Amino acid sequence: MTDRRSTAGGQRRLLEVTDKSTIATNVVSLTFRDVDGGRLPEWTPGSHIDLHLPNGATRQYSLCGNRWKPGEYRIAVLKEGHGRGGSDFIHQHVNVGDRLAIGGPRNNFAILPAQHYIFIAGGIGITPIIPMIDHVRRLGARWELLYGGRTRESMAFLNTLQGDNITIFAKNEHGRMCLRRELEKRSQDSTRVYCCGPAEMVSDAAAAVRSVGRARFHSEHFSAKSPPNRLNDREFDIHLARSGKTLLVTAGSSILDVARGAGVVVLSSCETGTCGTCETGVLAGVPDHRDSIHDDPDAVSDIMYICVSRSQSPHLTLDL
Amino acid sequence: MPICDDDPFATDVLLDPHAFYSKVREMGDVIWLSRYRAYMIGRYAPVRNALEDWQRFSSSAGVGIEDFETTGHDRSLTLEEDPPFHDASRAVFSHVLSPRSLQKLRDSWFDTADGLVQSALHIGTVDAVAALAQPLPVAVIPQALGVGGSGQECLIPYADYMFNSFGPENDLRRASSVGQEDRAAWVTAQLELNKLAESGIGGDIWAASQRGLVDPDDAHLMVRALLAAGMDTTVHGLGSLLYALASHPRQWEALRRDPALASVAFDEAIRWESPVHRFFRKTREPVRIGDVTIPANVKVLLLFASANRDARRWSEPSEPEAFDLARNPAGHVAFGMGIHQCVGQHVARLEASALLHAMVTRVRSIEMAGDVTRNLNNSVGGWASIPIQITGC
Repeated sequence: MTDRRSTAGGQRRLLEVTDKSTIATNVVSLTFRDVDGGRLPEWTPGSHIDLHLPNGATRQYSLCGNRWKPGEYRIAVLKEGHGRGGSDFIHQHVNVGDRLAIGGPRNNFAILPAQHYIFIAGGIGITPIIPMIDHVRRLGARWELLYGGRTRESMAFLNTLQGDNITIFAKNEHGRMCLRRELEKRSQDSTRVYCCGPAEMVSDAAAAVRSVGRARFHSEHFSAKSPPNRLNDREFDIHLARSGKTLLVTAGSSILDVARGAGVVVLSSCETGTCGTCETGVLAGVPDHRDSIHDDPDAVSDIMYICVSRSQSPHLTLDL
Repeated sequence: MPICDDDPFATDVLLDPHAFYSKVREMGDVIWLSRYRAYMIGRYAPVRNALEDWQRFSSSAGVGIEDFETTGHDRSLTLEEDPPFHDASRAVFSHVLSPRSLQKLRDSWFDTADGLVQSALHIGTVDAVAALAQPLPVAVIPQALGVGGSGQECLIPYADYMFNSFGPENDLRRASSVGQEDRAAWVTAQLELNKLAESGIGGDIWAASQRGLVDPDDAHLMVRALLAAGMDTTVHGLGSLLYALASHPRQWEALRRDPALASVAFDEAIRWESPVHRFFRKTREPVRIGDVTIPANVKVLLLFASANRDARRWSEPSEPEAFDLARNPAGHVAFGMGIHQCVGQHVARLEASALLHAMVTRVRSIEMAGDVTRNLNNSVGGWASIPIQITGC
């Protein structure tokens, strides 16, 4: 996640904190409801919200509550401790009764149909997995969870996770889990693997799924992919269909910057291709996807994330 | 609690539904429908709340009068499923029917609508249903789904029966079931894989199933659902639009002066006369509305067409009975509301915008040329015939 401020207004709503509790070492759970007590926008497992903090930071957090409680959102926040102003602020300064602006929810990590699921969670990466487990339980699908953390005390939701299909790896007791061995035992051709955790763990899990050779892999990154080599960036034209403008995007600028510079209102948040806020429709041309959102960006041609993505074709027509 | 002994599915009610709805709205928020041992809601706010509240107002016991949890009847995909079962097919429908996905169909649909309007102008006095409202969806929907060949006209009575079957086992339902087996067999034959064109919406759904986004067995059911859901509803919606314009000359003039009003004309028309009049839900727990508590596990009839004429919501800038292009129709429940809101709404709007574009371009006047005849159905409303006279520019 980044420290950049959200630069546009967009759709936000004001929610009130109705509960704040410590649920593991350095992890607090926050529950929100609409200030008027109404239904909140629908969400599905894997969704996140943007939390606009009073100190100017915007952070994304996965929803880990219950869809059958339409008036509530719940998130869990790990105190990251390097003082970048997001999680520390929440731990120290956000309290029951406070009102915060929320954006979203959006889902870049949707759960897709399968006969069998393997969930892999590392630390606070358990948050999107909690509603996914509820979802596949209700569907009657078979599932297993591999959940790793430093110590049992540091692992949120542990008390709700019990059963033969759940394997807990506390590093101080067992050392690190060998993902390859665990996946080899469990993977089937119909398996989907959903993984959320630190970047290193996600890439290990991706490599393990590849080498085992069965199962399909889905992940959500906490942080952006390594930036592409910008030396090869070329300039291209964008045509903004709704505003009727044609603009040049030079090698050193982003579509987002250029569109904004021409007075077009676009909502963005992370500006690193991670959060999905600046999703824009592509009407013509071939985008060069640079985001970390889609597992398989080549499969997507009609939307793009204009904060980081560019164009493979000399012209790109956008729904702006 | 107010009690209604009338039969909302009786012919005299279906012939004059708004008189019935007006009576229902005056009775209260929630009414006991004695004949069917069910509850009924006709006012805007509680209808909308119930539609949004999928947690307590469930669709998975069927959205017709029959309780599938008692009868064991098969639910229809998406429409009659709650989360989480609802989600996968809904996501694929949303994607393949998004405005972006439909853009590729725009030019050919505008051409088709233009051709129909030109033919109607040649004749002058036509039945707007037979000449415009029906042939447009029949021409464009099966083709877009990749269901080619001939015989598509049978989709109209095919879907008419489907919508009747959400109501009780009455004469209307029995009469429309005659010939349904043959029509269903035609549909099944069209859905054989080799007839789904790769480029159509049917092909997109098939491709999504190949990518594992929905069960391949469900892909056929999804195309079948679109063939049924996208025909009569749109015919009646376009019929409402044409009837509204022909019977409100000042609104037609306003539209000719300012073609940008076309963007609200269709939604205002289906607010004014909603194609889907009613669907049921089943309560999952007791629900308190005003001073009435609806118990758990009962069917509740939601009157969409009544909610869209509730003066508590629709009194500006004119009374709800008026078709008024100065009104902002946002929030109408003609497409439903919430997670089950019509996933084909962009398809319907594209058809309407094709028709309106051709009308505004080529037609100078549109006037009534006789009395309209209602189409009688247990759940969809609209007209079987709308005689109009049109003259060209």
